[in-house]
Amino acid sequence: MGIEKHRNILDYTLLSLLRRKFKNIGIILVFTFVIFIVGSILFLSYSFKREAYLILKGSPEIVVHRMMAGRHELTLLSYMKDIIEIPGVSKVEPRYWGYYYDSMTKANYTILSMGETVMKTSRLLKGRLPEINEKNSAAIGKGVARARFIDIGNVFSLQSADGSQMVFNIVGIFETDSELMTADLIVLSESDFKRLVKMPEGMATDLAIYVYNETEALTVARKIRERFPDSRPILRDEIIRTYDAVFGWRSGLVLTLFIGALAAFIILAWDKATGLSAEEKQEIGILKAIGWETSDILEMKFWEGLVISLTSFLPGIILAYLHVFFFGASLFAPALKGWSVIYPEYRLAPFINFYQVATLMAITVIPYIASTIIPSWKASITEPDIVMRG
Amino acid sequence: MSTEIIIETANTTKIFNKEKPDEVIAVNDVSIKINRGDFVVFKGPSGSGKTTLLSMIGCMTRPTSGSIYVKGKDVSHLPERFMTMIRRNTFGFIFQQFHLIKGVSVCENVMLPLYPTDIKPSKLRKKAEEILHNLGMEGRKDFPVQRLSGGEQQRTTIARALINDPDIILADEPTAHLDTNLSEEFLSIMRGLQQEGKTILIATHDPLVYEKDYINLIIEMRDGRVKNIIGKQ
Repeated sequence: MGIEKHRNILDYTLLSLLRRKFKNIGIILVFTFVIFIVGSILFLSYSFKREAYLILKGSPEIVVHRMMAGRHELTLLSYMKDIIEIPGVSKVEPRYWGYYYDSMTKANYTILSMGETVMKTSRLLKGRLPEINEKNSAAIGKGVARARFIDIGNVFSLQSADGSQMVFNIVGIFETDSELMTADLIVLSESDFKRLVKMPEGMATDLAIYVYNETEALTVARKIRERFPDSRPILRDEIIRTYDAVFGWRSGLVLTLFIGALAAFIILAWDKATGLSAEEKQEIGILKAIGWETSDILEMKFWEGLVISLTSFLPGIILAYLHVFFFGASLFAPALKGWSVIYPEYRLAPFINFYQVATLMAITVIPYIASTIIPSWKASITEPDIVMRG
Repeated sequence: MSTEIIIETANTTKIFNKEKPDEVIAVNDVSIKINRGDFVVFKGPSGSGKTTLLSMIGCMTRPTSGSIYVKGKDVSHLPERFMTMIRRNTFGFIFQQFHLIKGVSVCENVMLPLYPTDIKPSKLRKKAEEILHNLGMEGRKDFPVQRLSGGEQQRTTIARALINDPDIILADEPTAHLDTNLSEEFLSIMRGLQQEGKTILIATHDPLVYEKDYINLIIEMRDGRVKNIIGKQ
């Protein structure tokens, strides 16, 4: 059997679809919308996870917090000397960071002192970072610059813990691409940071621990915990897992918001699956009576399902791609990015998990085709003489 | 006229809902023979079994018992696939309700029976246009069928029945929805096809049809049985 037969059946299918223009356009619109929503969520949450993962890859294998009464407490620098002696530890570095509530813009900033971690993420900086001991200089995130209407060369002030105003020159601004992590960031020199928050000498916010062999991180963390029972070592892998869970949870939340669209789609598919209209049944009878085989009718219905579902799937997934990677997922990014005055505004690097796309295709296109074929199969196995009887 | 038997039924019976309270014996022990080139009319009131017999002859349904031979081959016990093949290659159907596919053009409707074959679309279209031309429908070939008059719809179904160049044309109550002029026109087309060598089988209770002198076999039916056979050769 040659290809012409299949071409002829496909031709007729397309012709047949055009007859029920409005109904089919309606199905395509709902189907496209569902794919667009689910696709956007998949793209967005996967990109967030990838972005966070890539950034965290450069961060230390272990971060050590000190705990008191179950809460995060400043860590003693004296711990460093003991920790560096643990076999496998390559470097220990104090980190100074915290949050600053700006009552003027009603926003929370993340303040951070210069150190190894900042250097590693500085690839996307416009201008430069402040030197380790440079006074009254700062690099800020785009979100902060927007909130305060400031740019490189301007000055801005923050209120220190003792109530005095500290003025900073802006020497650098983090660029858009890395805004996921840097939108609300203010990077200061170590001495300025300490002055701003009035941090006591001999203390740091936490300690960054680097190990020679990543697989030994867990053992090193255990040893730190043994030596300093008030410490809480956090592994990088744990942070990555937490990001996964948080974005996964938020994706679920957004998906819940669009449950109405999903329900509409399921009802539509169910409606198709549970029966054909009298007109459709009669058409199948006519085709059989004039010489179509059951397999020809099933092939026609297969093409019909494939045409409708692919016509919906492809634009849906392309729109989702544009929405997420060109328009910053403007529809539901607020829910996925976080709840803050300063929303990161950035263009995500287009990471696509093809496994996820294939899964989305499998759970939408295949059931739709099945819901088109099954009722037709039921109708087409009946004897065609039914059309002889009106 | 050739004497080759093209259709033969042997003790053919069709029972609907067998062994159920609503059992109906639609065709009861019918044995007939039809020669190639015959113009046959199955005559009888409604419920006499003529449509069921026509369906069985046209391989649309199988008899409950007995056999049906088309061109000498027993078709009553063939698998669906082969029955479909015989239906597509041997018969052209004209239904009482026309049964055209709405929303599709006249030409596409005519082409329908041969879509699931390997014929090239351009060749198929040309063939359909030729048949429509012969039936005086060339000006209507791109019309959606629902905009046609009754007579034009009838001619479209005739064209569709002829697209596969069948040996046998089956028509069920073809004049039921036509006025006298259109009925005469239909019969003259059928007469022309018979003269080209096709075998025509019509189920009807319209005297306008069975009173025509060129009809050479009238099979009168009642209550599923053949009551009378009148040969006019």
